[in-house]
Parts: sequence; C-alpha cells; structure tokens
Amino acid sequence: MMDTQDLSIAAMGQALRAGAVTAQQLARAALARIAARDPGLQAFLLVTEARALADARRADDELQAGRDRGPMHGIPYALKDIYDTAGIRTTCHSKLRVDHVPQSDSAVATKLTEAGGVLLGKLATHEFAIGGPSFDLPFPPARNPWNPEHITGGSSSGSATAIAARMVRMAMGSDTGGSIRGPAAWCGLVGIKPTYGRISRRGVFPLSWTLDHCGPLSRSVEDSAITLQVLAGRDPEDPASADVPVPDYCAGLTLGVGGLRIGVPRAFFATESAAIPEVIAGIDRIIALLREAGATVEDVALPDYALFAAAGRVIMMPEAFAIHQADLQRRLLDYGEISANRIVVGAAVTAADYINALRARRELTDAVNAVLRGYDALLTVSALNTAPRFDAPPDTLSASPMQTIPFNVTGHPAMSVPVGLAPNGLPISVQIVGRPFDEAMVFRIGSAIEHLSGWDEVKLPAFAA
Amino acid sequence: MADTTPPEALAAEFDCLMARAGITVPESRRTAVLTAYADLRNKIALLHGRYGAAAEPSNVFRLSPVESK
Repeated sequence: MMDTQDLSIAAMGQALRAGAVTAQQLARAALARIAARDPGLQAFLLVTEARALADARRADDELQAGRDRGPMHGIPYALKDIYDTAGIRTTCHSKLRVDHVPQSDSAVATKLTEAGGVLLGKLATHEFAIGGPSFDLPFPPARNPWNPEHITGGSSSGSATAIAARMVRMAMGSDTGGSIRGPAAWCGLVGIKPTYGRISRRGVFPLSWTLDHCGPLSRSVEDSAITLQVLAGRDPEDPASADVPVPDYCAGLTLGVGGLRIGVPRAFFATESAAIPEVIAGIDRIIALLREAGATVEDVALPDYALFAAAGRVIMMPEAFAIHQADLQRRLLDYGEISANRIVVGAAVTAADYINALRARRELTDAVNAVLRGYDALLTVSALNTAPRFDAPPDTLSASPMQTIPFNVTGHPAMSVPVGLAPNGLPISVQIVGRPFDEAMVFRIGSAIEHLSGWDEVKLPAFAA
Repeated sequence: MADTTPPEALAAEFDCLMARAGITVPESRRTAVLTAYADLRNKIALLHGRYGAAAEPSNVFRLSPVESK
C-alpha cells in the first residue's frame, strides 16, 4: 500500500476515487500510527477503532456503489473530547465527566458522519477547555511532538499533538480565547477560528457561550478550507448560529495576494516585552514576502491590546462560573487545581463589571470593523514566543503569550499559519484576521503565506518519520 | 489603570464573594486563587468608568415579528 501519512485531505480523496487506496486502508494505517506514536505523546483519550473501521467500511461500500458524499468521504479525523459523540464517552478530560456517555452527537460530529468521515477517536484537552496542562486529572496532558518536553498550548492540545505527529490530518478543536490558534501556532499547524456563529456549537461542552467557537486544526490551509466547507452553515438549534451564505472556500486558494490590502496592528506585538526576536523577525519576513507578491501591507492602529484582553477575560470568567457553579459548590476538589482556581474567580465579577466588558466588546468590534473597511484582512502574530517547557508553563489567563483573544471578543474569523522554525527547533506562526464571514479571504491569504514562507518544505518532527 | 485595593482588603472582599457564591476554597489553594483574583481586578479596573450612559452593551437585542401559524 502507498504511504498515506503525508497525503492531504484532497490527495486522500483522489487516491480513494482512483482506487489507489481504500478508506479501510487509510483507517488501518492511521490506527497503526496512533498505536506506535501515541504512548509517548498522549493525544488520544480514547481510540474508537471499531467505529473507525465501521465508518471506513461504509465509505468503501458507498464509493463502490457510486455514492460519493464529497471531500471528507473516507477521510480519518478525530474530535476534541468536549464534542458529544452518541454512545462514545465524552469526558472533557475531567474526573467530573469521566463516565459520561452522550445520547446524541454534537452538530459537528453529525455533519462529519454525514460527510463520510471516519472517526478515529477522542482527543485530550485542557480540563473543560480551560485548565491545563495538568497532571492531577484522570488523563495525562498531550505533549508537543516537536519536543515532548514542551507543552502544546491549549486547550485543543490533543488535536494539535495528533496532527503534528502525523497520526491524523485534521482534528476538531474549540477556541474561546485562542484554544485552536494557540496549539496550532506552537505545534506548526493551521488552525482556524471561523466567524462567531459560522459552525454550530450544539453538543460541544461550553466554556463561555459568547466567546466559544468550533473549528478545525489541520496540516494545511487547504485541509482547513475543505473541512470548513463541510461544517459551515445555519443550525437552528444553536442560538448563535448565523444564517449567512457559505461560499466555496477552496476557490481562491491559488489566487495569490496581488492587489490585496493587508493591515498590521503592530502595536499588538511590537511593544510586548514577552515577544521573542524570532517571532518579530518571522512576521516581518512574511510582510516583506507579501509585498513582493503584490500586496499592500501597512501598519494600522487598533485600540490597546490590553483592552481586548480585559474584555475577553471579564466576559469569560463569569460565563464559565455560571456553567460550573453548582459543581464547584459541591465537588470543587474533583476539578484539577488549575481549572478550579481559574473558574472560581468568575464569582467575583459583578453584573456591572460584566456589562462594562460587553460595552467594550461593542466598541472593540466596531473599531476592528472600521479598520477592515480599508483592508482585506489583518496580519499579526499568533503567539509571542515558541512553546514553553512543561516545567515552565505560562499563566495563559493573566499573562498569556497568545495574541488570540481579541478576535474571540469581536467574533472575526482568525487563522494561525506556521511560517518557520525558531533556532530552538520549535514552530513560529502568524495570524490572519478577516472581515466577518469572509473566511474565504483568510484562506486565500493563508494559502499564499504557506507557500511564500516555505513552510511546505519544513520537515515535521523526525521521530514521526 | 491598575486596581489599588490593599491586599488585606482584597482578601476580605474575596472571602465575602466566595461565601456569597457558596464556594469553599481550600486553604492550600487560597494564595493561587487570590493571585488570580487580583489579576482579574486589574482587568476589571481597565474597563471601569470608561463608558457613558449612551454606550450600550453588545448583548442589547432586537426582536423580529412573529408570524401566526
């Protein structure tokens, strides 16, 4: 059988339809990689081997019978373990839900099944998508394949690990303050947080209702575009779901950036003492390459980053506390220490504090929209540094090295794209931010950066070869 | 603008808020939680006094007509 571990989603689809490989072969190869690589990396909380093989058998039978469900037909994927899966344990990586078996699928799981996808299993997360990396939970934290002594970032930790270690090409994450884009940045992957309301959140355990977004992590921009094509759209059972037409996300991937206008909110990262020189040099190199490729790239002014971060935190904490209050009252010690310590402070936010944060959200969203009237997209960094070691993890709430939460506050689509390796061998990335519901432009610019940066030529961690 | 509440007052306020919320923070975790609370207070202070009465929050909503069946 051909080596399938580096095939893109599109290439796997072509091979399936050409008869060069079967969905069952793709699934068995992925399961073998998981068996070989996961013990040292701990991406998977549960491998659903029987389900994967059943999904793959169905995909093969349908293709043979002439039924083609589209680009995800027969493609292996995995889900962060906060996505409900009917009959399959969904733990939120927590002792509180370690035996929880949902009766129905999340909207995303339903769509991926209907699209012919092959579910490999459920992935590690920071507990309830907020507390980690932790060693006081029922499962160990996922490790960074680029260097297992380093963290992945969170909270979609297992999703990033599984893809960077080439176990799977695409996995779903969730992003409340950067939980897709952060792990993508620190693990050398593409991670998109679509516009708020673009993908249904139904059946995904909430952290903060008005900041939560679902989205994929993947090896390439094209993989992410194909996945969003399957998942985007109105869900009347998600109160935040948007009723906005879904364009062809792959149509613009090869158009390049000639004639585009891109704004850079340089003050976001240039004045941050935590920014390492390689990250600044990385985005400046990308800006130069974009200009050479015909884009106009200019510095732009947005409100202070601190205001975005404050609004995000003051919105997130009371919403999270409201979700967890009853459990925290009864069984606080069943939470991991990091989760509990972070969530309980939400009790201290007054109604006026919360409303002030919502006033800030309106102001900040208007400010970003005003800048985007003059630019096709914004470009900033995803993280100020490379992935820290497990023995020196950052406090991702009070002094986060991520530059991601502004666009959870405003709801704009934002995607992290890797652009190179720092001298320590760990990935650095940039972040593209689009107009609301203009993920197609984010993918177009991201695809150009992927190629201009030479990321295509970067070899993934040697141990995974 | 940073929050300037003295540490003792901050701790007393925090204890009161936890009691009101029905939360018992173990003594072993108190220092870490108080640190998180102090940081959150600084974030809150950034947003305090910034807006006049005309500045409406983002969750102000509008209704659509309901059609009869």
